[in-house]
Amino acid sequence: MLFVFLPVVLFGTVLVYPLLRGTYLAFSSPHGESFSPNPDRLSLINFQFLFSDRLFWLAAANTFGFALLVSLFQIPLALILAFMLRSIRPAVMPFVRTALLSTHLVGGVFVGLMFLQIVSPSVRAGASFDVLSDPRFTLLILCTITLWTTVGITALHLQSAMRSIDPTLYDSARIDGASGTRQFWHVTLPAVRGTACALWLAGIIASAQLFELPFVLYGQTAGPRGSALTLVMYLFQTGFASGDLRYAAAIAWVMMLLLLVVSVAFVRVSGLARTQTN
Amino acid sequence: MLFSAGKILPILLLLGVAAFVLLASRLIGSSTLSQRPDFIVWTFSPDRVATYRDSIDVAKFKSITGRRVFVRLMSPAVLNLKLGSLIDLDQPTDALPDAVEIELSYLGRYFAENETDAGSAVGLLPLDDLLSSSDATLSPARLENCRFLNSVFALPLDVHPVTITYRPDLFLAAGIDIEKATTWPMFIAACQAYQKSSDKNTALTSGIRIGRRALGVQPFNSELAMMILNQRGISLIDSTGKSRLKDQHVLDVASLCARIIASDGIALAHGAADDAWASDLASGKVAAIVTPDWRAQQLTRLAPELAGKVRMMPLPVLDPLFDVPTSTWGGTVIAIPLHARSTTDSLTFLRVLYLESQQPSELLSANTAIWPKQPLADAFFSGQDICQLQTMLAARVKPRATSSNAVIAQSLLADVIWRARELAEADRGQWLIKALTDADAELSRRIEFRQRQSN
Repeated sequence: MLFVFLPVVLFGTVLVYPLLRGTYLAFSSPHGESFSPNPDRLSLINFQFLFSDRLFWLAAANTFGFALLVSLFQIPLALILAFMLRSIRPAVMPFVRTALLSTHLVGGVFVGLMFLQIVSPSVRAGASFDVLSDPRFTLLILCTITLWTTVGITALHLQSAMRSIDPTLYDSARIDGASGTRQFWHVTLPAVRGTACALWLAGIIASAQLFELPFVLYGQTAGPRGSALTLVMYLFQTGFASGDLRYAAAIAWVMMLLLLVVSVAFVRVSGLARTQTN
Repeated sequence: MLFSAGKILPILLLLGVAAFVLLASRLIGSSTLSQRPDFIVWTFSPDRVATYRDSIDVAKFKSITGRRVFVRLMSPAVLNLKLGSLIDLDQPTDALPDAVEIELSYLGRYFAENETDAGSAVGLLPLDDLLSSSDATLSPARLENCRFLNSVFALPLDVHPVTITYRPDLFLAAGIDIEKATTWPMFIAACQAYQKSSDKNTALTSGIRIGRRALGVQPFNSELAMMILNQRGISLIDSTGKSRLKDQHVLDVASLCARIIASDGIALAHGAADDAWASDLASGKVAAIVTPDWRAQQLTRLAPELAGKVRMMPLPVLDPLFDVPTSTWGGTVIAIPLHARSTTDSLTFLRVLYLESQQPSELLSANTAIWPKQPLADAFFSGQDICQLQTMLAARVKPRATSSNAVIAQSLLADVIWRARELAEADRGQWLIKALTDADAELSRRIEFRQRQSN
């Protein structure tokens, strides 16, 4: 009993209590600010405003646009990379693994600062060339950096899954005259489908929480034409710059619900639950 | 069996934990404060840690109260997150500092637009009595930034008058005396003439031939517009809590800024590095930079090669009769949390260190212009007495109203200016009227929401 007491207390203090408090804030409206002698009252005013808030929907569109773009490339690129790793000699493998892992280990802020140096403005031949100030490039920059950071580690996860495939399956395929591509489609892909789908879902959830990169690249601004305003960035602006924690809590709840809908839809469409059960 | 012991135990455990956490939070909240000997000051400026450490006034404060001053340094975002959370608790707690320095742009976070009772709206201690009992001269404009519902909740520590630092060698090589450009249209015309001339004589940097721009700015935020609006005494949300985005003055400034940052304009966005503004000026990428007073001090350190090659001039104005040739850029205020351990000691701290200080220049030399600054190396600025210039301009800075919706207001204005930058000059006026009207409606709706939240 004592062994579970500490973890459960920690869980309750740092997770359950903030969650309950956040729910209370999202569904309450003060009479005055928090210094009012009158108690808070239950209210849906934060949600009513949120559904007609242009900036919230802009942030949602930016966030899910980003998540979609990243998820379109992340798993396919990682799959190709993982498949290519099979042909690398075992002696060099530790170095390759370290190299692939290193992009993930350096952390979002460092990567953001590094890319900031690369994409920072310059003036050439008298014409301004500033990708950071051009809203058409925002999504592209964010996606490129995210893929650079995540494809390596995703490939390593997939490679682990591939290593558990029975080698006799490949032998049989080869005897049947299957080319490398056909082996990939008919042996590798079905075998790692469950892992790939789980990683895909994790990637979508992580992408929806995008914050450090736009924060580092664009400061606390929403970027050119609001193109770098993500849901978490908007939550930060609302809760911590404007001090409206109640509205920020409402944003967090709606964001969680949106993610839940996307996740459930993904699980249904991909058959992930079935794959995991099998 | 429907409810076996194995099933009930985890539920009971979770309920027990929830009860424990709630009880603990109540107990912690209502516990009596410990006898903490230190006087805790929160700051976000590394420079100010040193000034507190070395100040004689801090020693004087200790001799009066018997409390040692301990300074905690944290980033502005973290500081305001912690302070905001503690203030939201609305009760005394050991974690609250005795005094706290707040970056001016965050101050609005503590003010709710709708309140009629200032004491209940702000978790900071009103300082009106302290100020009325003192004969210290504080910048009226800066004091206005700390005022909310007719009470002052913080003391301004600096003014940060803004000027333009420029390279006379570059402008004179193009035959231009930029100091004669006293209005923004004249300044833009002079800068365009400079760019046209320098195109023939481009600089070679890292093997790449680069063109030159006249003015270094940040194009996708509203800092430039906010600076020019402050020259005119306009705040995007005025002291009555109303949006002024539709105001003719805002329209004029938005149009001017769009012209400045347009691709055929005069501005270059500084690079990513913190000191890019200094290196851009040193390399000649830009010939002028917007300069809050602290940048002038940093420039001597970041670009020593510019010694004797730069001068400083007041800001150009839009309307010579109405505008002032300077503005303000951020700033620091010091406040006392409403539930600070001993508000008497905290008020003594402010009185001794800021209102009766015998050594204001020592304590405030990091970034202030309320009192005369430490002399900078005049030789660096081509023999110009920039200290005198900044002190003279500091007295003319106009007030800026602070609001919890200021971040959103600036974001909306930045978006409008950004979209207007690529429009043809002839179409820009009409388009801006519509865009600013839409932005005003958006902001007003948001202000109204904050009011409805509380009513």
